[in-house]
Amino acid sequence: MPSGASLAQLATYAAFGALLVALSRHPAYRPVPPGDALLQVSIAHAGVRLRPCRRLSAQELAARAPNMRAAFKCPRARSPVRVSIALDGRALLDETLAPSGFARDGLSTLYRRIPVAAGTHLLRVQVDDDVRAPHAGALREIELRLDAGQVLSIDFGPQRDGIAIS
Amino acid sequence: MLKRLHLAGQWVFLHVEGLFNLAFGEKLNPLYYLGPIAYYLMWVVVASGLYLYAFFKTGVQGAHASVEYLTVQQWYLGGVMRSLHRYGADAVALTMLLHLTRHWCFDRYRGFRWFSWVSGLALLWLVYAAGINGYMLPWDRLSQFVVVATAEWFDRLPMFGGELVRNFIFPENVNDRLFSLLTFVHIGVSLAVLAVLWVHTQRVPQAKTLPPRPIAVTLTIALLALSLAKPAVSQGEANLAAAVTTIGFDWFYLPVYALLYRWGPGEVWGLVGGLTLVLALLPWLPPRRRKGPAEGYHMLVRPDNRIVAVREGETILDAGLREGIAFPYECRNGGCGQCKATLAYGTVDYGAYQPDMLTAQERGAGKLLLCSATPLGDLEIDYQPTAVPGGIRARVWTATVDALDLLAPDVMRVMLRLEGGERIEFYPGQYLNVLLEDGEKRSFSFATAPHVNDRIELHIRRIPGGRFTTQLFERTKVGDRLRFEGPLGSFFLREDSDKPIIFVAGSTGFAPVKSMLEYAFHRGLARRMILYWGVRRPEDLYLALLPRQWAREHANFSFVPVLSDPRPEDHWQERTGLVHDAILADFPDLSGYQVYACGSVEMVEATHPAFTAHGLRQDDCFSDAFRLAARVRSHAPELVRLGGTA
Repeated sequence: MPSGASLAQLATYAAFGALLVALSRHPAYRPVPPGDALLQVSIAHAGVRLRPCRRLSAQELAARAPNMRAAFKCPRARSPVRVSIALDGRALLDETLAPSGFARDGLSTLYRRIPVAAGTHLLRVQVDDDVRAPHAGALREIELRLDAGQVLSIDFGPQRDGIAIS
Repeated sequence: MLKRLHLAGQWVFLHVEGLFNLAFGEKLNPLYYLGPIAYYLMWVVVASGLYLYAFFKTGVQGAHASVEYLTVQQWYLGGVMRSLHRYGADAVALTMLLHLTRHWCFDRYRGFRWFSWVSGLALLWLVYAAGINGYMLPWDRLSQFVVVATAEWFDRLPMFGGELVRNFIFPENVNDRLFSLLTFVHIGVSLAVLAVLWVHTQRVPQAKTLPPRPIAVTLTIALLALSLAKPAVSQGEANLAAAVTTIGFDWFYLPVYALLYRWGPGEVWGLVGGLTLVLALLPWLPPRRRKGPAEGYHMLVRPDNRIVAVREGETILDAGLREGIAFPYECRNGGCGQCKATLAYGTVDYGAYQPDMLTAQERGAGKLLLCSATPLGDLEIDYQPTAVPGGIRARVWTATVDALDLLAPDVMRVMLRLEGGERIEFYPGQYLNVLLEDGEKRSFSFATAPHVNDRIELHIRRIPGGRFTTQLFERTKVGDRLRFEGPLGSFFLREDSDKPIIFVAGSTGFAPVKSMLEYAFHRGLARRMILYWGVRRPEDLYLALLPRQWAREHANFSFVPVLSDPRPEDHWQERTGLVHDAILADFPDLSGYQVYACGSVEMVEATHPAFTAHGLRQDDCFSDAFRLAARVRSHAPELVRLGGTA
């Protein structure tokens, strides 16, 4: 016959175990609302150069040290990148991304995580990477069906043939 | 306000601990061993992790499959190991948080304890980093969530600039190298946890890093039972094309992740950074004015007859253990009463403890709990030793006087032989207490080395008017019996350093030095050793031929006698003046030396500050009389005089 103290010890360890099991699993967490799909917009793209590269003249090249005689001089600053996304005509995103770096010559980056209702939607994605020519960038408009819990990724880059929706 | 919060927390802890005492008893109450339990659980996590690592495949295809193999096909061992790993890690987080909260409630985080607090905080975050990283490895839906959410969170930092998450949301970017990296981070952070854990523990004197065996065994059985009853399982293989909609969540490790999509990464960084900053600054918030002297208080400890410094806010137990005093203790939380001692002089803050462990009557009779009480002034503490260095227990012995030799007009060499042919074990430098008939005690150091343990040599200086020494010099004869207790004291030759040793002996302080030197020669210690023996007149160098002989026989030993009061008729040609002046003249920089000082309190009092001013590290000076303060009761110096008192 176990003593009262033994039973109390057993109960304490049982409570300890129950606490470990309970809080290591419950309550469940829902990162995406039930019935929603998830849009993941991730763009890392360098805008076009704000000023084009210029070929140096023979005199300019001669004035430079032999190891510095690159044929072109390229101003570093790049254009901001504007990203606009609309779903069924409703704007989900419209942001102008500044280039990174002190000289503003790096990538413009964006990441957004947007839960959207499942169903059939008209998705319109526009990316302009040259501020001097607004609305002349890439545009993609598609009708798609999103299931609950589906992930739709949107990326942009020349290596992905422009706007990539997957 | 802060004080009230502390008191409220103490009230809660003491009451819950009191309830646990009813179930577990005072000595096996798990709440008294939160730190050691966290430490032990960490080893459980490490051991189970090593097993899992042996089977884990670091690849996109292999990661999930190998964990599933362990969980399902090898459930009886691999599955149990995985569950132990999971539940052990959860239990580490739980016990660490409780440990931290308890120290905060009991105000054990300020003052000199700031380092333990801050290193503990670093440890907590490292454990969280290792735990969260661990959830990335099984490559199930929870891994997918944790990996992507972590990348989103870290992308908020300027150095990542929003590109990190691209590695995890496009399936073509997730490759085998990612799993090698995650595994490397998991093992690396876990090793960092062990390293910081070691640093954290080193600051606590004689910290226990393991709970009592019954607790460790019961805890292991409980975790094993849990692993079999509710094994940790995966939540479906990761699929980057499908959103993680509902997952079982580990709220011990991932609560801030639940805030990520509610608040945003910047806000969560603000919360975690702000919390860390506040917790790290807690030891100084609000700034506390020092109440006592800058150097702390001093405490005379009996029966060791040692005086040790106690820092403000430091428990008497910690101060004693830090100085190697063999105080008895068990829980260190005022819950078991094992460290009960007597406050013979001075005032203390008794601290928070279980009322049953120190009743009002006991307190009225001068008792206190060493682990809870902090000094409010200089103290005198009597305790019952239960252990001594090397596990050599003190006991009462009976001996007969084997020889009496007058070495100088006022110094007698007494040779004792233990009755029944017994042999005594002791450390060179320790002492014994001769027990007088009326219960009084007189302390004398062993002058023989431990390997000569069939007889005991004492050097006893006659104190004018001293009761015991007068009797010894005038009436004691060979064959007389006496009783003594010993060996005692934690002042002994330390062999854990290669630094040269300077021995400073004053008068009969030569006795423990002789014991240490003979032991060193016997052991073949190659360290350089210099003995400075300071006395007033040549005849006070009562055994001068012996160190001169050692100097001839041992190349690493030299002897420098120093007279403070030579007279012309002495024709003294060697060093004169105060012994510490002679040492400082020879060694202006003492930073590379160890000093063992044995002699009169006045000599040690003059020696110690002069030596530390010339670079001697506190850790490298050894003397039972060091750190002696004039503020300590006037008769205290007599008690710490090695080589004999009246």
